[in-house]
Formats: sequence, C-alpha cells, structure tokens
Amino acid sequence: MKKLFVISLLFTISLFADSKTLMYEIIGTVLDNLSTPKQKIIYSDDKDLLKALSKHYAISQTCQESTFIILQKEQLPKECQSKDIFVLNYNLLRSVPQSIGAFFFQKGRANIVLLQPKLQKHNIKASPELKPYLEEKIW
Amino acid sequence: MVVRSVKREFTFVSFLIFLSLFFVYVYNAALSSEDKIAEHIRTDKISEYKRFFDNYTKYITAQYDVKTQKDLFLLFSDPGKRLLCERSLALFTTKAVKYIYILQKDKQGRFRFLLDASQEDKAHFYQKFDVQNSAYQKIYQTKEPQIFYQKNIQNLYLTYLYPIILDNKVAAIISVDISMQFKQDIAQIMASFKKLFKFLIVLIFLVIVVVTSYIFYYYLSRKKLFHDPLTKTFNRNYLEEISSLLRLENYAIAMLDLDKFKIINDTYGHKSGDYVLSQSAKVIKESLRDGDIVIRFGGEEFLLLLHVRGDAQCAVSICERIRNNIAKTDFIFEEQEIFVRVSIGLNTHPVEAKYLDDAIKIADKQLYIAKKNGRDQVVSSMDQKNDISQNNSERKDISFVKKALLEERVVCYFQPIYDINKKEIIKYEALVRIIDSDGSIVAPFFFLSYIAHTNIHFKLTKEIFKICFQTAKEQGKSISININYSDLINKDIENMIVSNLQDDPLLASQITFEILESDEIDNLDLFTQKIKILHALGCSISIDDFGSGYSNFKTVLDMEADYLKIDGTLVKNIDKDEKSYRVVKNIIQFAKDAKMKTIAEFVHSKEVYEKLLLLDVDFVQGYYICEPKPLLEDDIKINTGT
Repeated sequence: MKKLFVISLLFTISLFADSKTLMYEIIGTVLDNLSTPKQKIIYSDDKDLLKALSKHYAISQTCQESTFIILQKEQLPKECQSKDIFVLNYNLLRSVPQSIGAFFFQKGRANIVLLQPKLQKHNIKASPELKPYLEEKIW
Repeated sequence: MVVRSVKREFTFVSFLIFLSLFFVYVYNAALSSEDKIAEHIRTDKISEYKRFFDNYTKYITAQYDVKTQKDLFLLFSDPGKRLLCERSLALFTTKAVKYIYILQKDKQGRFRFLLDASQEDKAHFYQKFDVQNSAYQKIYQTKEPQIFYQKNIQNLYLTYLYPIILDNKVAAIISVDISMQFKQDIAQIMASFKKLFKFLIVLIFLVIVVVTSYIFYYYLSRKKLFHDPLTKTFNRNYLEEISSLLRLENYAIAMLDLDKFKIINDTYGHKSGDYVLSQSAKVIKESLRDGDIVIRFGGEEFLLLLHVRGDAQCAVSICERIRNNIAKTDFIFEEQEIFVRVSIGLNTHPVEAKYLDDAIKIADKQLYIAKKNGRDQVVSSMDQKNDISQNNSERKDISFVKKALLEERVVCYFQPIYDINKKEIIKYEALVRIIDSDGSIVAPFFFLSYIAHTNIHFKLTKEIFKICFQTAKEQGKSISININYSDLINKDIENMIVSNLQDDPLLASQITFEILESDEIDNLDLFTQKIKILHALGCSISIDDFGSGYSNFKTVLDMEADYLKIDGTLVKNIDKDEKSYRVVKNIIQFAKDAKMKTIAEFVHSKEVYEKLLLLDVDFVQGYYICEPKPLLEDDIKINTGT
C-alpha cells in the first residue's frame, strides 16, 4: 500500500511537472522520508536544486558546513567525502563509494536507488515508503 | 395553400439541415478514417516487431537451451553470451526505436534489466528499473503483447512490451520504446491520405454549396414564377400550380375587377394605372385573412380564394369589406386624386362546379352581372341561388353551345326597328337563340356569359353572321347584327365579313353592325381601323347601348357611326324618370349634331313611345313595337297605337 502511495506520488508529480521540477519534487520526497542522525544541512553542486530545496531545508553553500550532500558531478574535497552523499547519476553511485543512494532518469523514467548497507553505515533510516527502492548492492 | 408554402419552406430548411448534418458526418468520417488508417499503419508496423521478437525468442531459447526463467537469468548473467544476445537484439533497432531492452521481474516484484541493446542511456545488468505503467503487470496476466502511449517522457511515443514465455510463464519482457520519429513516419504516410481527405471534404462542401445555391435559386425562381411583381400577389401560374390540390369545399371564389380602369389609364397615364393596381392589391390583401389567397388573374382583374369552409355569408362579408375599403382609400398619384371602385362576383359554392375553371366562370358571371348592374357592388351566386335553382336545368355551358353549333340548332330571331317618321320597318335586329334538344328556345342570357372570350364564342358569332347574311340576301331586308370588340378584332371573323361582303355591295348595304358602347376597348387605333374596314365595305355602323358605357364623345365621333342606339335602361323609364328623360333628350340632340340617326330600344309601353315621339327620335324598337320573331315577316302588326 505504502509502495503504491510513493509510486502514485511520483507518478502524479510526473504528470504535472517538467523533468527538473519533477526531479526536485522527488528528491524532496526522498529527503523527507530519510531520517538522519544530524539535522539535514544540504549542499549541492546543482545550484538550482539547492535553491529549490532551500524552501524546506537548511542549506549550505559549501560542502564542509553541510551534513547532507546531493552530488551531480563534482569531485568532493576529502573532508566532505565521509558525509551523507546522495548522487544524481547511477554511474556516480558506482564511482562515489560513500554515496547512499541516487536519483536519476533511466530511459526517460525517474528512478530511485537507496543502498541499504550504506544507509545503515550512516545511521540513516528510510521510512517504509522508500522500501521499494532499497537495494543491497549496486548492479 | 399557405400551409403548402410553409411546408415547402420547411422541406427546404430540413434539406439544408440534412445537408449540413451530412457534411458534418462526412467530415467526421474522414477524420475518424484518418485515425483508423493511422492506427492500422501503427498496428501493422508494431506487428513487425512481434514477428521479430518471436524469432528472437525462438533463437535464444534454441541456441542457449533456455527453458525457464532461471535459465534466462543465467544466460544473461554471462557477460559474453549477454553481449551476443544484445548484438542480436540491437539488429532490430531503427531510427524509430529509441530503446530496446529485456526486463525481468524479481521476487520482490521489481523490474530489472537483463539486457539493454539501446544505443544510448544503457542500463547495467540487473539494474532496478522503476516502471509505473500497469501494462508491465498486465502482460504477466495476459501473456499478450502490450502497447501504451507515452505522454510524459520526452521524445517517446509509445512502448511495446513483448512477453518471453518459458514454461508457460512470462519469464521476461522485451521492451521497445518507440520514439516520436515513428509518429512522424506515420504522419508522413498519412500526409497523402490527409490531402485526399481534405480534397474530399472540400469537394463535398462545394457540392453542398452548389446544391444549396441551386435549391435557393430554384426557390427564388419559383417565387418569381408565381408572383406578380407589380401587385405582389400570386399570378395565374400559381393558380395552375395549386388547382389540382385545391379543396373547393373549403373556399369561396371571387372575381374582382377595378371599375373603369381603362379610363384611369387613359386619363392619368399608365404609371397611375400601375399605382392604382399595386395600391388596390395592397388594400385587398389587408382586407383578407391569412388563409385567403389573392391572384392577379389578368389586367385589372383579381381572383380571390376565400377560405370560408362553406360559410357563404362570411365570403360575402369579406367581399363587401374589400369593396368598402377600396372605396374609402384615397388613391393619390402625383397630387391627383383617383376614385377607384371595384365590382366583385362571388361564387359561394365552388364545390358545386365540376372543375375549378367552371367555378371561376360562375364567379365571372356574377362579376359580369355586377358590372351590368352599374358596378361598385358585390354580386354573389348565393343571391342568384334561387334563380339558378329554378333555372338550373336552363343553365347552359360551353358544351351546350358547342353541341348546338354542331347540330345546327343555332337560330336568329329578328326584332323590327321602326321608323317613326316614315312609319315603316327599316331593318331588323338579329338576336341569337338556341333550340334546345327538347325543342324549347333558349335565350342568350343563359349561355352567352359562359362562352365569353372563348373560341366557341367566335364560332357562334360566325354562325350568326352566316344566318344573317343568308337571310338578308334571300329576303332583301336590312339586318342589324351585334358585334363586340373582341369579335371585331378577330381575324377569322374579319375574313368572313370581307369575303361575304366585298363582292356584294348590295348585301353590304343591308348590314348594320351594332357595336356595344360598353365594351372596353384596349386598342382604340385597331378598333378605329376595323370600323373603317366595315365602312369601306359599305356597311352601316351603329353604337349600341349608348349611355351605358364609358366612351367619351370624341371616341364616338371618331367611329363615324350612322346610328346611335340609346341604352334601354335610360329609355324604359323615360315616362317616369325626369332625369332619364333629360339624358335621352340630350343624347338625341348630340346625335343630330353629329349627323347620326337615333334608335330608342326597350320601348315597352305606349307611354314611353309617346314620350319618344315628343323627343323627335328617328327609330324605335321594343316589345311595344314588336317582339323578336323567328322570321322576317312583311305583314307583322306594328303596335304603335296609331
């Protein structure tokens, strides 16, 4: 039922939004359903996304001051690599080993992957609504 | 008939609505056909993929001995084999195929890539793929290919899902994402069909426009055909059109004639005549009700079809209303006031007639009586009903006269015209009679009005002339023959007169033609020309019923008549009516000044005869002198009292 709820939510959003807005909305929903030990202070190398998230979250213009990083393509400084990282590309999920999950478009469809072991490592709890997107490993 | 006109308009409007609906139907049919053809092309193209995938499935299952879902998973788990299979599948990619890949549902119900043969945005083996469309679930139930259209994914038109069935289960799905290029390819094929449909739609539209215009034009033409432009009433074409449909039992028929219209035309000009006609028609129409019909029957004559459903008195009231309204109307043309009056003959029971023509003739006869009785009045067949009932057996129509002519039962009676001064008969007036089949003598009153202006009338005239010429020749007596204007200008009658009298001056000198002064002469020049021919032959001319008609003195003088016969209605009351006496006296004086001899007819009493002696009239005629006889008798007793 919960799965259906999230899928329906994503689907409904996708009906009315362009891909950028859709992406922001979905990321916002994912963030809402992830409980982190610390307050989420978000940093992203996607400035538009950061601006969109600033309405509901505390944001930071540098990764050092943030607690949660949403990475599009940028190489992170060493001091930031241990933070909670959520990527916007499936390949980044592979190349950034610390990343806990990803949101990306695969063949035009919105896709979410959350890596269960990484979430546990970072002491992040995913709400049941995100269960359909939990993966044990990167394929 | 008004109902019929409304019905015709209703039919016309209905037909237009039908054409419009037909056009809408054709337009929609063309559009839906367009969709259907596009769908057909699309289905046809997609069915090609099905054939490809059937072969592909057969190939991999045979090649790699794949029998179950697990076998398939194991096959694609091997990167080498997967690459080979991927290359095989990639062969199906075209410009229209954006992505082609194989998905498998895992135990949690999530879809995962087994293989991705797409050229771009390639997924990894067993990577999760979030799908939202129900078709992905449905294919597992139906085991049939599914198609669904993409609305929210850029550049994708539709997705085709093909089930790979192993062990009677859907083991995986080959998913093909078709790009918008596919739609454009179809659109390109459809372009020529669209052109054809557009052409058809335009063609049908044009045909409808042409048909509508034609119908509209036809409708207008019919309107013109049936309407008199001057009076804005119906014309005789309309009467012909409706005659077969007219239910005579619902109507009374009236013939209406503008009194002395020729004088109006002659006095004030034709423009004033047209004005009087159009205004009179307007008054007539305003005096009628919706169900009544006005038809301009001829010149100044109107036929009225009064929808009375047998209520004769109602028809009389309507006619009286028209007559009063015309009389009350001020006809002012170019500051000249024109007095217009009408005479109306009414047939209250046209259903009693066999045909419409006969019914009209009865109305016409009533009109004739109205005219004869002094005009400006309504004469109804109802008034004459008793007479008609009494004389029903005596009413004679065209066929009666025709038969009489064929059987030579037409005869002439002769009434002497007596010279007061010489005290002798100077000539005889020929009066037509028909011997009926039972031997009784039928007077002209019973048949003349029925044959007026018909060919039978001319035949009868010729027969009378034949009898008179023969009688005059055999007995050497002078005979007066009545001739009306229409007879006079008839070429056959003229030829007969000329052929009989041209070479026989003695006979010509014995013949006097009596021309009715009350006849309406529409071509005075022609009339004068014919009179001259009679004069040239050596015949005498007499003006009949002088004082009853409308001729002015100049016209009378131009005729150069030898005799002037004073109208009987003036003569018969000369002993009692001082006004009649004075009129007759003046007519006699006018005739003497114009060098014309005077004849007084209708001399029915001694008193009248004696008054005429005082007035110095030349000749007298009437029952007091002698009644009409079948033969010219020398020894008839003249009843002069002397």
